[in-house]
Amino acid sequence: MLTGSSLDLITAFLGFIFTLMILSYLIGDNPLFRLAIYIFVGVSAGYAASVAWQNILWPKLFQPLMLGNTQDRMLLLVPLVLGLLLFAKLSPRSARLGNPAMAFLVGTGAAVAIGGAVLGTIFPQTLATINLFDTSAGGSLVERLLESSIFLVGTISTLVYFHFGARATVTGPQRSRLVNGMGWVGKFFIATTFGVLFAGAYAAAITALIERMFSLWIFLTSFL
Amino acid sequence: MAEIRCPMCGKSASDELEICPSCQARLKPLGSLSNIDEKSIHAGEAPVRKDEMEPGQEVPPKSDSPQEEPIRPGVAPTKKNTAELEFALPNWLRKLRGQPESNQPPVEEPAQAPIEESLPDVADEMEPASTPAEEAPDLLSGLEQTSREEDQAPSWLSNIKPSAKKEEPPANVPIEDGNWLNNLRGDSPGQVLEPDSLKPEPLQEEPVFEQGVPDWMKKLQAEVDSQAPASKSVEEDQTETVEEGSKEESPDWLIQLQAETQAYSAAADDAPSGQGEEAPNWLGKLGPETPATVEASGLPAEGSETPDWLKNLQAETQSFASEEPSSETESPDWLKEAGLEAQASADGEVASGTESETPDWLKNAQAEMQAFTSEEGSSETKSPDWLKEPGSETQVSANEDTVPGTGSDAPDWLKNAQVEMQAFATEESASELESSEELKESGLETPVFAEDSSASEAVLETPDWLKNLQADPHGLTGVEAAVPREMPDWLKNLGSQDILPPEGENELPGTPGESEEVRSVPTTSEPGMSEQTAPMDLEPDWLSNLKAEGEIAQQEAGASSQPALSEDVPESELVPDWLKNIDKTDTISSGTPALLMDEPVPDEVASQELLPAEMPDWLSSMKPDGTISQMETEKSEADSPDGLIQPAELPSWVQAMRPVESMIAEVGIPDGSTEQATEKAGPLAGLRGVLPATPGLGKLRKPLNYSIKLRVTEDQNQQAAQLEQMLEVETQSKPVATSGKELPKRILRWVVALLLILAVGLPAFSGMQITPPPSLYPPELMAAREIMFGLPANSAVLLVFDYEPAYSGELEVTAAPLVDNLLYSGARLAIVSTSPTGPALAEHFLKTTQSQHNYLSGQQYANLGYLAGGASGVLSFALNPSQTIPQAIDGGSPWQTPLLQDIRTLADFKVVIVLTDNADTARIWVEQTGAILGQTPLLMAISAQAEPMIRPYYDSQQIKGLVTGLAGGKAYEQALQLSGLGQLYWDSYSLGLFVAECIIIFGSLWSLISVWRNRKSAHEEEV
Repeated sequence: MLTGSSLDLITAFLGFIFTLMILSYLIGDNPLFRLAIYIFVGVSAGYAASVAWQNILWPKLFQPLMLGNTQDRMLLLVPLVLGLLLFAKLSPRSARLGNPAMAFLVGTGAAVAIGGAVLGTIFPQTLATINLFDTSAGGSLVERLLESSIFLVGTISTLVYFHFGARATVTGPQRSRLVNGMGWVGKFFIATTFGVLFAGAYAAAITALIERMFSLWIFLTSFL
Repeated sequence: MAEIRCPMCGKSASDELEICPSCQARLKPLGSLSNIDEKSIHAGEAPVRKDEMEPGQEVPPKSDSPQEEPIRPGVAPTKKNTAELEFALPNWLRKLRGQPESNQPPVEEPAQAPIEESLPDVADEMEPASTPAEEAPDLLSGLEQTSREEDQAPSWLSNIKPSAKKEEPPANVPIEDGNWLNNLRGDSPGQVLEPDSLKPEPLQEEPVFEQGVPDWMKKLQAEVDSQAPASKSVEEDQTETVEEGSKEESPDWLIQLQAETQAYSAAADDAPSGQGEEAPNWLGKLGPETPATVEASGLPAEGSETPDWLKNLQAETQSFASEEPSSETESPDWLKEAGLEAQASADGEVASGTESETPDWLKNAQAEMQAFTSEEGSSETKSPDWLKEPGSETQVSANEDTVPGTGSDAPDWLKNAQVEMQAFATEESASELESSEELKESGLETPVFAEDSSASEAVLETPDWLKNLQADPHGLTGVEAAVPREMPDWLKNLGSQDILPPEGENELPGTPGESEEVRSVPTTSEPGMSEQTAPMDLEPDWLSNLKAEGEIAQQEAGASSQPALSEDVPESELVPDWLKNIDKTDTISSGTPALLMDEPVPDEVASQELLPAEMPDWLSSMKPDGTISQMETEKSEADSPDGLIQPAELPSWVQAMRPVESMIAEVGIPDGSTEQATEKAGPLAGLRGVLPATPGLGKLRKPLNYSIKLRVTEDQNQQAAQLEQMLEVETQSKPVATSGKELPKRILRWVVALLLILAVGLPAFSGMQITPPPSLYPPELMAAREIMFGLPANSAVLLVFDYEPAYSGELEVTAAPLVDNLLYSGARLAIVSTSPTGPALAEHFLKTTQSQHNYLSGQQYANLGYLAGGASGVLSFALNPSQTIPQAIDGGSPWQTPLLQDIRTLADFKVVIVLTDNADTARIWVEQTGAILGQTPLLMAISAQAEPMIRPYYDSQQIKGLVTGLAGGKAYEQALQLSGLGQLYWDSYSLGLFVAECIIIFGSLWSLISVWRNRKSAHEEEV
């Protein structure tokens, strides 16, 4: 039986190998890279399926059906049937059978998402943007006005940038100068946001690279 | 041995054989050529009709022309010599055609005239039936055949007689055109063939008359014979009355006429040689027109000073003035023509006395008249008394003995007249004997006046149509009816002055002899005799025209053909009964056809008038060929048992009417019902069996004209041009962008990767600290630190591990100081994840980063595992965490343990910390748990890439604190005065960011330089 250290060694070795295989992409698309991708995808899917079975299906469906009382069994027949109907989506001829279960999932998910978006994002974010001009909130007034002004301009200009309405002119459809100016400002804010996102992605990636470099180094240095 | 070829099978066979050994077809015709010659058709001879094919007789072979083949488009119809079709003609037509050839030259008719065009005009051509007598051709030729074959005549022709009798004579020559022509004429049996158009022979009238003496005529003659003495006495009385009347009651016009005659005689004395030529027309006409008076006057030839004939003429004129009403008014016009013959005899008689001074023709006429007068006495002994009537004088005078009196230099008309006289006398003598015997047998009393008696018989025995004609409501009565419409002027004057009585008067003034005669009629005849004479007076003009035409035909026929006809053909077979009556009356009456002598009708003109103007060529060109034997005729009839001409013998003009091959192929051969369909429109209306004008095609309609020009507006043109331009742009191939060389890109990629690896690895491999720790702490970090520091000990904290394994290095560095701070407080941890890999990452996180805390599952923390359902699962878990995930991944029930025992909702946790690298996941937790958390702070340890999307929630205070990325973790460690992974990675992170910033800057500069160089090069090229 493998001990913890052996498992750690194997895990570290596998980590080292797969890390090199992924880094092999520097020389281009190669089988090692693809193999590592396939392994990760497969392992992730297998792990997800096992987790779903172990954490969802068995403890919440099949175990009550097999060991639970009649009431629980009768109630669990509904999710069981709907779950089985989802397998009908595998075949185009029987795909219609899975529509009710899919409709139930999408309907409930959409309802939850919309409710959460309205109550958890739109209203709070709108209110937060308005509250930026609340002088009573504390802090420097100039700072707040500047910050709030940037937020206001950034928000409006970004929304105006996505306004694609135009007026028909002799030279063709053309937006008004105000819209064009606000759009250009909004484009600036959007570009800044993309830059921030890229920086965050780059920071996350460079952190992962650092972690991998350290793991490789640790693995290599563990044998030294 | 000579061989012949079988006409049927084409095989050779001996000429001695009569039947083909192969096909059993007859090789030789039944009749020989010698028989054919012997049996050639003669004019006036009745052909023998055969309706059945002789036994064993074969159908003669068809001609070489492909007659059964349909006419192809563009192929002209075969021109056929239709003369060979003579044998195919019906008997009546062959006979009809045979007569004119023997009597007159062939008449050329307009060729290629379709019969269909001529038939509809039959009704129009019937109008000329009332043409003057001098223009009417001989229509009586062949009437004996007609009457004899009355039953054989087509029904349409027999039915047409009553309808046409009012205005014109009936068709004297019924055309038995056979079934094919009957079919062609369809169901119009009542049609009348116009006499003018259907009578091809104006000659041979006299023999026909002589031969066709009907029974009633014979009876009439018998009656006349019985009353001959009575009539003779009446005649003598009339003659005396005329003489007296001529002297005493002669009208002025007659006196003037005498004066003129005398003057003329004086002039003739002065110029005797030119008498004939210099005689006035009226006199020339008058002379022949007064034959009856020659006998009535009985004056001998006068002295040399005045020619005898002229003296006689004067006497005749005087007697004629008194007698004319009886001869002209009481006799039909055609009977007047008989006067022509008598005139000839009278002229001859007169000429005998003036032989030296008169021309030859006149001399001959005089001699003839003398012979006539000398014969008169003897003839009276032979002939019955009725022939001694004034009107019958010419009959008696026409004796064979008088024929030699006609000199060779006599004019033709005179010769013909003599010949007619001669032939007539021969026939008359025979008929008289018969009639006298019949009369004796019958014992009937006939009126003294022979004409009236004969007329009465004619009324009794004439056909119905003729009776109707006589009973014409518009018919004239008495003398008025006897006057022809186109009577010569002199005759009109004659009748208008003295002869014509006022209507309604029974007595005729001015003519003592005639008046006596007329008055004697009621005395000698039965009551109503005057009424019976009316039909004779009402005899239509056409009948007189026929007679006149017969006279002309006889003159032109010559004397050669007459004896043969009169001898060969029996009378009863040739002349119908009603026509025999006409003949007798004709011979009795003294007509006035003198005009015919001056205006002889040419044969050609007469035939053209008789024949249809548009008779087809085949019919016009068909000539009675004497060489064609009767055997061939019989054979042809045998070939067509039904009397039909076989379709193969269609003439060219019929072929032209046949449908072409394309039409036949399209329509097909019509059945018998359609063939017999009657044409209802067009020039062929009323005909049956004609070829349909539009067989099976119905009414053709002209196709509509559709314009091929596209009608487009200017806008449409512009739009089309724009569309064309767009398509043209799309169809143009775009140049493929030349990609850069792979090697520089790959090298660049390697260089960047190497720089990053060196920047990240160099601090890690070297262990050096090249970047200082951050001195500024972000506010969100400080808020999170405040919350963490504000947590009570042993608080229930919910840790949500919602990040992927790829970002585990970043999040572990980010969340490790925060969780370490939490664990330092002894918090009870409940771990849940919306990602399947979250529970494993949580275990790994606790074991690697929080290993110093020795947290045990089920005691310090509970790994609830995977939270399924996304937002729904988060909401459900927020509302009821214990029911959503009742068990931990290890199988325990943390909700019943002290670890999570007090947790009912999400708000029961002291703090909720979400570790995520995904902004959406963070948003779901914020959105779904915001209303449930209440006062429970929501902290997040997020990846640096999710910070731009999650930071607004921090600004909105929906998230109470944030720890973002490695920098946030390093800052949080620095705030806790800890040294962890943040410190370890910080140099690498800082150097890596620096290299990245350098690369971005360098790349931006390289890009700017490249653009500048391109523009510069472009500018240099422009310059």
